[in-house]
Amino acid sequence: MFTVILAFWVMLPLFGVAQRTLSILPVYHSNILSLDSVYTNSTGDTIRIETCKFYISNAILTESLSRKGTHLDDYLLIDVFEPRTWLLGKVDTATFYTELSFNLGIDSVTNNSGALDGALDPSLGMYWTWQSGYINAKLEGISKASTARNNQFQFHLGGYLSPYNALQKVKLNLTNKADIVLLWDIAPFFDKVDIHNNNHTMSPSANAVELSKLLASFFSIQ
Amino acid sequence: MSRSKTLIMLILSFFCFAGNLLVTQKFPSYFPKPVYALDSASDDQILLGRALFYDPILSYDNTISCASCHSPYNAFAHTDHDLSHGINDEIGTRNAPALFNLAWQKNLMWDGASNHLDVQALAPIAHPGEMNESIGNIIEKLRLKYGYATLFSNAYGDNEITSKRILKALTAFQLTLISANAKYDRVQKGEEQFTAQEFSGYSLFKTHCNTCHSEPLFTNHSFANNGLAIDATLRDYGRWKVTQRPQDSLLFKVPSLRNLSYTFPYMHDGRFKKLNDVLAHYAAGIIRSETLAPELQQGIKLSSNEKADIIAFLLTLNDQEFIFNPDTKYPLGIGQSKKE
Repeated sequence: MFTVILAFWVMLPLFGVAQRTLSILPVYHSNILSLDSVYTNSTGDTIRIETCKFYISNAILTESLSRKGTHLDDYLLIDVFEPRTWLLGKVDTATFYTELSFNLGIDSVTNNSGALDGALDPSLGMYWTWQSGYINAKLEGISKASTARNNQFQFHLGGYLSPYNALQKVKLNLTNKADIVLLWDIAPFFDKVDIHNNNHTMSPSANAVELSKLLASFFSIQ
Repeated sequence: MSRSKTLIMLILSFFCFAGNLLVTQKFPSYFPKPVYALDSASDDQILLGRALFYDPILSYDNTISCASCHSPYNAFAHTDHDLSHGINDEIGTRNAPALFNLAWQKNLMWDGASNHLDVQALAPIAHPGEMNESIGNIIEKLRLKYGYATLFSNAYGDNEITSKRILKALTAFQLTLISANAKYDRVQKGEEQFTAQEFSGYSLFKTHCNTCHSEPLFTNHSFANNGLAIDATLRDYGRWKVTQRPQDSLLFKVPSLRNLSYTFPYMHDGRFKKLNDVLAHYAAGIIRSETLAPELQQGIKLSSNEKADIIAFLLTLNDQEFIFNPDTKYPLGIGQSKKE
């Protein structure tokens, strides 16, 4: 009996049942983001990141030949300081996928759907209370450059109504059948955003859309 | 089982039984199709929502319930308060709106900031001047409070308490708040007749008011600038804050005109105490601005007789059956005893 199971297990890849993982890897340049680290940007400002969470939704892997898409879990809340949330899904090793697409944030239909649960539970701190809508991404911390109280910066980015729809679509090409590691390097954020003048956004706005675009541009396939 | 526990169980089971008698409320054939499904919740979910609605456990110091500002005997408005007061007697910035016929309202709040009835409750719960509480903390408190395990079990099949279950139950109860049996409704159904004065008021109403306060719900659920001067202390620009579009500056939700006798004072900041004040505003008090409703460019000029007739008609929109409906009142015995 044991040998049968062992043989089956060894042959799994041949049946195409073996799985590879799709996960996210949040970094600051080449270092994995950590709560305890103090980072320095290109102009010499120091940065400590205290909260960094965002929604990945509607992730689809597209097959090379058929263009058929495989959907992963619909809504995932990534907390960069909780590695267990980095795993986006598992896909079989046999299929060659050429493209990964997903949304950074929550779409407008879901934003209009009342009380939801799971990753979309409004008690997770990713839902605005004074105004309906999910916070697509939350980034908080301390930077010497910030003129706000205690040198804080606080970005709660969201909004699903035109013209301030903050949802970002991301598309990346895949080139092999290995585990997919979605690198997310936030370092350029602190080089490009003038934290001195732009240190908090707590509601849907043009700034929230711009900053969301920026966060969405940091993804790449490792 | 101790005697008091038995008693509580008896009371609970009575209300569970009573809950089953809460027949899904029907609405008249001349009402439009509701935005929210009226028959999707069970009687037990409605009962749970009712217990939560009246329970101050939803506030940080357990002093303020939904009913504190949405009083059942005032059509779930806050009569006599221009602005409502919440936790620690903090004064809010808007008049607590009456709650009825919510099944036909997609957007809630004076500025439409809530896009779904489920999530509306999150706003007053979290507001530091209203209930100043988090849904996570409410879940913890409900777990410790006697009675709720049974209520949640009956409503959802097991006693797990989640934010979705709390919010859905509040929605279920609020959707039962249907006001559809005022004299106006009985006239529509051919059961009663308007007096001559009411009929005259009805004709004037249809000429001057019905575009925005459209029958039979007496609102078209739109947002409009009705020419109110900006309150210098509140500086409230209404829907503009939500959409950030200049064309939405000073727009507020058009409220229903049903149950006006119970819901004074009027307007988003409760600035008018009497219906006469409201009509006087439309006749001569309109402040012109870029976003003023097109219907109000000339004001609404009415003779004093015409005003009296319109008011006579508006009073036919008072729904006593709704005000005194025992099924929507404080649920005695539910969730009121501490765990032994």
